[in-house]
Amino acid sequence: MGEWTCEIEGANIVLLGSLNPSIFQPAWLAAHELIRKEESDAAKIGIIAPQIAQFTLDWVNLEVTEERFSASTTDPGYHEPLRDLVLGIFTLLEHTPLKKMGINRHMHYKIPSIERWHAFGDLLAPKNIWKQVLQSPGMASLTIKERRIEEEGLRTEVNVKVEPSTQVHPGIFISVNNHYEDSSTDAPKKLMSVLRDRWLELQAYSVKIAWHLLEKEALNAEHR
Amino acid sequence: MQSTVSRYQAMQEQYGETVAKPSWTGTILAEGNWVLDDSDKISAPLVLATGPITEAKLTSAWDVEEESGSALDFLARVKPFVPREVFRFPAIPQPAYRFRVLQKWEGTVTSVGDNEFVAVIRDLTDLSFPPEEATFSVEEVPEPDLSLVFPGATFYWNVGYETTLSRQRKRVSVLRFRRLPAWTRSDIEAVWRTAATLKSLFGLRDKPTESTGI
Repeated sequence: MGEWTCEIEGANIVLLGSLNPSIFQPAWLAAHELIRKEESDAAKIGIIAPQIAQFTLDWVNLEVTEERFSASTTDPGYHEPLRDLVLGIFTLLEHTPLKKMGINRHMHYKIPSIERWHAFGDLLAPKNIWKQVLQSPGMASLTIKERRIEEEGLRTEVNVKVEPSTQVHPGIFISVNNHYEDSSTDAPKKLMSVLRDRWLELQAYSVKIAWHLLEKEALNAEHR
Repeated sequence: MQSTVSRYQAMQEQYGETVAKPSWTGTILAEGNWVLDDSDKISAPLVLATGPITEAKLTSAWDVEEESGSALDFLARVKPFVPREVFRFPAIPQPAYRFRVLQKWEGTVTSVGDNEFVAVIRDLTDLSFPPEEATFSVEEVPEPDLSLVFPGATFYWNVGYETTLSRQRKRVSVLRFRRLPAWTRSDIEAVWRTAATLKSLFGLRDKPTESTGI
């Protein structure tokens, strides 16, 4: 993306519903050939209990409580295997009552200079009115939400968050949460269909949002 | 609306040290065990309590500035209950490396030879590019995936820069074969139902009849 480099990026899938955390163990995933046996043997287990499960493989971190499932990776080479893993799990557990899903992408971009870093914050959150009551105000976090209702009752929402990056300096953190929810008995099937059929499109869309903002920054820098 | 943002972004989000703590919800799972989960502040770690929560312990579990009454306020909101101890939910480990993708493809194996296989690959970094055919050495396939190399199998091929914690950078090429479970019984039954519907729709018979076409 020209003068911007994406230094760190990750994807995660969050599912809300009614879950049984003790099922989610590396050995179970390996037994169903959803991961390699070697990956299961090398897993770092945080906790496996009836109420919570958390473990990490080389490329993915899984956390499950009775209401929430989260699978994350910071290796962009594993975005599609992440999708496959979640699809595989909830194909096997096809009767798990799921109601909501987040298909999420987060990116840390390095910005060419401190001056442009500050200017980007001013572009997104103009400081004129803040300077009247605060000294040296700066943008710490900005979230923009888009709501829309799709067909067949699947409600969707897009949440975009922009912050100064805590991992890359000077850098910008951009996070896109593609949220889906459905309250029908078909919800699990619908959500998995979205995950299977729209994953690439949603990942590309999340990157498009980030590039759109960065292009505005570049234009802003040219005209200053 | 309950958030579906992952707490994995915790390494980006930080609490202000003197920000008033949000209200916590506690779920009593069983006597002696409970989980605190603040769904509104995704950066909050989950705490599995298996013992008594005193104000001092709760404060140390969260590593925040001591706020008078906060732990007691929380305890007052839940049922009268005394777990045995509190410990912090395991922190998400920092990744051991960073990977910057230069190119990503999804491939489908078309034929397999003794030492190589041929595949049709699709550029995932730019879906507008047409598919191409490529030949791969079996040596490039990780040993645990060798049993997955057969015609029709799907794999991912990533080329990029891997940077370790010691900042050593290397260019890598990685193959990984896709793993998905076999069709479930309900999938198969759904296919049979669809087939039966189509069969009755088109008036198909089990035995072929003489053609009356042109």
